[in-house]
Amino acid sequence: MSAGYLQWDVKSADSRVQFVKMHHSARIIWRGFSAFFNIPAFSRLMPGLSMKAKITITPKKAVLDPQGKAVQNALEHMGYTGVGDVHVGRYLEIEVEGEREAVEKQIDEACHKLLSNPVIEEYRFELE
Amino acid sequence: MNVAVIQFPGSNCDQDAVHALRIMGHSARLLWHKDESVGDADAVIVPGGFSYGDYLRCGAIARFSPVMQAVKTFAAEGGLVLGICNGFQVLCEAGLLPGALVRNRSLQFRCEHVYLKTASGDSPFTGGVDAGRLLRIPVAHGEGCYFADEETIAALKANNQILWQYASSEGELTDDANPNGSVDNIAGVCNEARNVAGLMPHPERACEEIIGGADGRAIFESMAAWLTKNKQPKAA
Repeated sequence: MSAGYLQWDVKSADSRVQFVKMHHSARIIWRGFSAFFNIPAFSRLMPGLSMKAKITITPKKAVLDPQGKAVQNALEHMGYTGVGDVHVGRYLEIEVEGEREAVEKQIDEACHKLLSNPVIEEYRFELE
Repeated sequence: MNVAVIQFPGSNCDQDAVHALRIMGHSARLLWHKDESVGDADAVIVPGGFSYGDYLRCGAIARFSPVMQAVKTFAAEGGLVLGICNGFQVLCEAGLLPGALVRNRSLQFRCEHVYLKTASGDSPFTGGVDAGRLLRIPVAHGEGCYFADEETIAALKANNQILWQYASSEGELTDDANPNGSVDNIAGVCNEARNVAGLMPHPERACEEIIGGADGRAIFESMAAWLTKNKQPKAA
């Protein structure tokens, strides 16, 4: 078995390149196909293609959050007991395509540069 | 002086600024947000309003417009840049000024006259204001609460970068006089090089007695005087 494996490994450098190429074109075709039929669910069958970034942005603790305070007061006024600090932030969903690692890096950069203001806000996100 | 006033989609104090400068005898023109140069301007004003609908955060989208890249270059070369209200927010978002502006403490849009104390006369924007003189100028904003972390505030104080503070009619920095909850009653600051400044109140709305006061002129007159004194004649 190991001989056979080795044999394949040595002999088929060319066919591996071929495989990578085929894989690449399959992805491009898939991308066109799923976009044409507009079936995002299909993309889930093909990992590393389409995903959703779920981003949560909240004000930093040190920043005055009068909105959170107003919501807290309203909740208490409604009779809810045990309500502690409330923080009002922002939630974004971004549909994005690409390799997971690259997407993660991109979203992190976008959060830092545009989607949040690091002076006053914190962010966290997950990819699905 | 020759001033370029930027016009973003959603700016609404651009014409006021041009009008105020012209009645004071200065030359002023509008600069479209897609322009990639500030031309031969001596100074740039980033006016108030709701640039790009204030989507995401106030000023967050405007900072990426082509004209802001030109303003950054202009500022880096020492050009005078003044951000008013939304313009102040844009300059903070663009990183040309420290800190950020968040929702007013009261959650209300505040539209009223305030008294401004000039905290430092050492800048092109405040050099012409007599020490101790209070400027009565209107504010009109929902997100004008100035915030910066303690370290930044300490640096602003050490470098005299706080230019204007909200004060009572007696000149006291009271909590009642603070319309939005800004740290240390800060109404406006400048950068370390002192050529870029921003403030929440609207000096351009206070340049004619007929509309309730002309104290705002002091800021534009300071800029003009500074330019006359310091401007290098442009090479022919």
